[in-house]
Amino acid sequence: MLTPVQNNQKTILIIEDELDILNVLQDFLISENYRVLSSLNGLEALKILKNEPPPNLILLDMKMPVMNGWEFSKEYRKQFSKRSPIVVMTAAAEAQDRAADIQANSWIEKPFNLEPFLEKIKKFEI
Amino acid sequence: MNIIEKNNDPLKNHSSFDLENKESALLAAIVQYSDDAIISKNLNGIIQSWNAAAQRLFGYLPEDVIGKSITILIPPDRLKEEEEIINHIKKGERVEHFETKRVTKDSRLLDVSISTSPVIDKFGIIIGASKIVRDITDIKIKLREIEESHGLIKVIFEESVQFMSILSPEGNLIKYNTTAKQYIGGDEINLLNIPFWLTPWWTHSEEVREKIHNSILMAKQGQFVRFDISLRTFEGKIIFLDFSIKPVKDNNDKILFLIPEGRDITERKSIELDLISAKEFAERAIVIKSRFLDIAAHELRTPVTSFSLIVQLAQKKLDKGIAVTADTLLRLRSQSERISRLVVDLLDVSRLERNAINLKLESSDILVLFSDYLIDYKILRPNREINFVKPNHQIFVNMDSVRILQVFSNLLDNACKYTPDDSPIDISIQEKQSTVRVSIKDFGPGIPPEQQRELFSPFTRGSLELTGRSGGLGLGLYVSRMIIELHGGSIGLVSQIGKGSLFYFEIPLAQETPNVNSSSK
Repeated sequence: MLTPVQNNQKTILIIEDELDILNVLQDFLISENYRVLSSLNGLEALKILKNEPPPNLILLDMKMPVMNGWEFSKEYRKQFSKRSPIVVMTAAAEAQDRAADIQANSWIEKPFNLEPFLEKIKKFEI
Repeated sequence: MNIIEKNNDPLKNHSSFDLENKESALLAAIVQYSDDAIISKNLNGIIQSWNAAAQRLFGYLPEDVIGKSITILIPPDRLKEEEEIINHIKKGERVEHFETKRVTKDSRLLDVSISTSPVIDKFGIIIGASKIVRDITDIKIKLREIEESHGLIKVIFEESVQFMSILSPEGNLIKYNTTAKQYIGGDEINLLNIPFWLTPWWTHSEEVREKIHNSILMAKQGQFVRFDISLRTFEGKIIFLDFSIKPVKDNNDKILFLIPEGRDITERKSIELDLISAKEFAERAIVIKSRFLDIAAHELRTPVTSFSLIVQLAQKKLDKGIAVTADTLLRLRSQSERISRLVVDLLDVSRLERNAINLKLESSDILVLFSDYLIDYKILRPNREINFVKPNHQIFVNMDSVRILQVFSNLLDNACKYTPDDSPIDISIQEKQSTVRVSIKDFGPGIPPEQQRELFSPFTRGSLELTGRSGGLGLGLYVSRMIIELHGGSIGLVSQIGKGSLFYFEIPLAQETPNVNSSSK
């Protein structure tokens, strides 16, 4: 679901296979005046990124079918020279380690509340 | 003895008389001061001379015995000996180192060695005998001690419960004890001089033989070697020995023997092996369970996250005056069901592991059970093609319907989960002689053979890896297997990569079919 780009509106790419989570985050971020790009796995995300200017932030789930977070970040680094900050969203006990694995800018542990989630986005978006 | 021979020497007889006298005096002194008792007697056994050593040995003074019969020195039961000795003497023969007993003045028995020679006069006539008597009591005692300890050593060697043997420095068998014989069922086979590693104790395993051979080589270098080894008895029983080979060396470090010995530690060993395998099992179980806990936590977090986010977003909308929609509630319901399913799986496994599941068995028609279930199932999945092939008559099974339905829905859910939405699923029910077989076939990617084996076990790599791709705890098939086995049935699969998988279970038919009225409602 794409919304038209407005002045100063920031774009966030969400990569998340869990449909309910993806939908809620998308609804919430739109209500917070973000433009949202959604993908269900790393491969879909790479396709979107090829046709878009770099988003202000990427929200990345790690465990996904087709192409997981690790594979995505590897391909992303290989294919793109101008890269966006990445915040990892993970249900793993070692969220911090997962973020470090792929040299992400930050992480958020599932489950989480929307307010601190929004704060984190504002802190790391460019 | 030499005295006599010298007296007898014809050349000496013709020498000067003085010289002869001088010589006799010298010889008399030698006799007198000899350490051995020297006694002479005539052919009637009458004592003629008695030296100082004889006096010390027997306790008689010369005047006590000279002129008396030699028989006072002979124990009554040995009197015959004197006769024999005299007979030899009369023939001019010596009797040397004759071991016997003699009696002292104070009636002590002595062990003695006696040499008797004839005494010949100037004219070559035998006129008597001289005896040299040596006290060998101490020697006898020593000998007896040696014999006793030799016997003791032999007993220890033979009767030891240990396997004991003696090898040449080259490692060839010289001797082996009773225990060693018992292991091979006796000693009728001649094993002497055979290299130890080729003996029948070690024929059951090339590895064991190699180990024995290597340790013999080490022992030949002078090393003491010790290790545990197995041995097969002639009855085919495998026993474990705490085994050692000791090189026995002389003062110059030259190896004289190799001594292999071994103590039966089979019982201890089997406890040890049990403990090791129990420890390994427990360690593996801990690793697997902690991995499982990670997965369980992860899998629970995902629906909890969805649930919590949906609620939070609905709350925000409500705050702005936007009503909660039916769709939101449906999504919440579906997430909460997912959470319950995970929790139920966890509880089931916990109960199964504690053997705490009681089946509520009742005879009922398995076709009705599945048909009813499939009606609802199909409504929820309008795009899925589900074919149900079943016989036209009722099939009664003595079962816990809730549990059997749990297995059926688990297999059906798996088939849906691992295949695209438009891929068909074939369900078939066949009645066999004493069982009913339920098969659920999908046309998905199939399961690699190495994962198939572990699929029905809990917390295994196979079940965890497949789980990782789909969500869930990977316990469904384990729980299903336990339920089917509790029903006295079996569960399995046939799968081919790229073609799909067929899961089936088979449970026994009810012994008696209840009357049609009560079941056809």
